[in-house]
Amino acid sequence: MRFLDNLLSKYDQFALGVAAVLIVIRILRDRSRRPR
Amino acid sequence: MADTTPRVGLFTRYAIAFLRYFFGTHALVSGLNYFLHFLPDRIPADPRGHAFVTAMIATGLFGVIKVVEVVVGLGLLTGRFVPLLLVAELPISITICGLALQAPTPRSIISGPRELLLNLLLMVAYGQYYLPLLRSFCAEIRPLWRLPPHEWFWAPSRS
Repeated sequence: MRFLDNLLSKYDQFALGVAAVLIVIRILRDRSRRPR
Repeated sequence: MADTTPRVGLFTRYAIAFLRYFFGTHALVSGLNYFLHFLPDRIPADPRGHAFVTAMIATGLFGVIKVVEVVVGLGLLTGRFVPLLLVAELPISITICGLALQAPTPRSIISGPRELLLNLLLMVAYGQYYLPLLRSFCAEIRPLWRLPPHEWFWAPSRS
């Protein structure tokens, strides 16, 4: 965690987390919409 | 004429979306934090950077920039007006990069250029929307007030 704090600011960590959640939601949404 | 432009693959599409979400969240948090103070403020320690940001705050321009960042963040997260908002963010990214490189720390030497590179990378990814701007000679003039309102905006893309 200390390594992460040295490398990325709180802004970066928060933005990375939000981006990761949003991309997972988008992938799951796309997969459920795609015709089988 | 049929559009023969090759479509990007799924991985590229998700990679661009990830970068857009990251950049958008970063801008939104940075903008909102100026008004709500939920994270520590990031005023440069370097005297020149500190003087620059302090003067921006004193003149009220910093608040304007933060409003732009909030709008950019909301647009990038919702995928609305992305090319326009990337252009609006570019001067801010250049300033952030410049300030970060004035007195680089191990973190700012990465975060400053990264801000500018992300902005430029996203602009290249959305490059097709900028191509009409890259005309060296524009003889024909069609002012907005002569165009019917339905031609002002492009129809939302479903792709």
